[in-house]
Amino acid sequence: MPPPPARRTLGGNASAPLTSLPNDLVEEIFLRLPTATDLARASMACASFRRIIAGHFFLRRFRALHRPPLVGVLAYDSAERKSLSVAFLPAQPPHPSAAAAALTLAAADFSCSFLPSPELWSTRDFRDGRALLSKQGDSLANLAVCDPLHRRYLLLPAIPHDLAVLARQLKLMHCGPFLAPAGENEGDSANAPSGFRVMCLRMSSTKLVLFVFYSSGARAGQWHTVTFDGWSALIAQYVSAGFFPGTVPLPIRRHYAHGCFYWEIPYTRKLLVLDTLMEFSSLSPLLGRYQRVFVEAREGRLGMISHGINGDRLLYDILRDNEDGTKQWQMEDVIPVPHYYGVRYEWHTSTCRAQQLCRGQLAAAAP
Amino acid sequence: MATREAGKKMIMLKSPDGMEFEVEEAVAMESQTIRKMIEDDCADTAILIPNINSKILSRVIEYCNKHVPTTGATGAAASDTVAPAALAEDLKIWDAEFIKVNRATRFDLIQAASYLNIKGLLDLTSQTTIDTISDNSLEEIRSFLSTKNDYLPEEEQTIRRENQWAFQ
Repeated sequence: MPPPPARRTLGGNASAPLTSLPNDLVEEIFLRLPTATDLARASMACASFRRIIAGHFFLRRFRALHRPPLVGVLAYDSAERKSLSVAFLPAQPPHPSAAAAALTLAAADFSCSFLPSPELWSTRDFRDGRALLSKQGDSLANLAVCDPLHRRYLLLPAIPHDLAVLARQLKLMHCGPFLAPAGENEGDSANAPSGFRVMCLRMSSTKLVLFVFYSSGARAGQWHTVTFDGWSALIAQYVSAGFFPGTVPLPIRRHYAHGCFYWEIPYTRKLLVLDTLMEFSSLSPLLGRYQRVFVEAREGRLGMISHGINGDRLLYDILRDNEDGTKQWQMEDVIPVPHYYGVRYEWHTSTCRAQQLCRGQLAAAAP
Repeated sequence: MATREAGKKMIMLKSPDGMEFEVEEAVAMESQTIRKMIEDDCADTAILIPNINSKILSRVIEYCNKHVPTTGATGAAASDTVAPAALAEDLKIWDAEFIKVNRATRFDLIQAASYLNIKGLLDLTSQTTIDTISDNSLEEIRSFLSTKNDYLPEEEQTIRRENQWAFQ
């Protein structure tokens, strides 16, 4: 800490302290502080500032204006460990969050020792600094959401018996369980990391059911289901053509962009869509696109990065709205990539936040 | 309300100490509060601005005059080809001069900007306070903002420990 400065006069030293302004105006000024660090500094100046800054209402407004910085990415721990461990890939210098990331490391508990019997749990998914954990056995019976940064967890209630019976009957395809951000109705926009949803998608040849657990909002604390009436029509011809054996549930790939989830339905060339209103629909991705990754394009549009048929270039397509309400893919860019015989490119997109970190730059690695 | 085509429409603003300021409607409408009054037809001939004395009100009008979007009205020599970047730079220099006032006046301007809802002026007047907090040690922050350290000693120790990272 530097020594106290010589006394300076700035418009009369004793007159007009900031505290002479009404509290709501001091709030207005503090809202304009660029970072949470500045907020912490201001809160140390005097107790009345701290009262304003620590207020729930103020913090909600501040977080809505200043998204918390990305300090790192949670990931599966590749090391063979007996107990549960979540890997944390911290931001490194020169990233502006590097110092905050180091502090995060010191304060967090990535072995999740605060959880009862941590050795019984394994990681299933990550989002917004949280890990979704499950116990062995039925994946919907024992789930927990764990926040290693703040050392807290939530044990999810077991899925009700009738829903559990239904889930076991849906054996064609499955996805999950996975973490989703709180939807728009659950107050997510004002307080970004506060709420979450846990979802699990299961299908039979005639039925599709999404199981959803809400952590906040009107439906908090219980499992709910969302169905899709158009599912059997979408899948019928492929089932009758014998594409789906259906003895073991087929895992399907999931993508997330602009609040919507997308699943690639194998063999069908169809994309299943869950929009922000929690309604299902389907989309046809372009033919001749391989190893597709769906990303957030500008203006709320869906983008798709893929290989062309030759593998020596990446294709970037954007889904545009036609005037008649239909949608159409339009090629936006072609990016040549080095192509060597026998080398295959694979995508590394661990989380949605990680994609934001890359700011739309493409990260491809040759295994 | 009269049509906009009939030259520049003027509005009278009155301060509580009895001064009257005649300003162009467009200038007055830099204030969202006044804009709403005009759009709701609540403004007849004069609008009384409570709580803002004539000294501060005249400075606020000066600010609005400078910041009203120019539509060829000011500066006869200004051609259509003035680069927007140059205009913005000019405004920045003007703002920096404008805000060279003592703290009491600055706080009065903050209150006026808040009441009249003039975002640019509120941003400008808040900026010095924001810079003070971002750039200085704790003692300097307290000195500049004339705030007294009213934490109890043990309370301060805890808070210092918690927030030490913010001063590294």
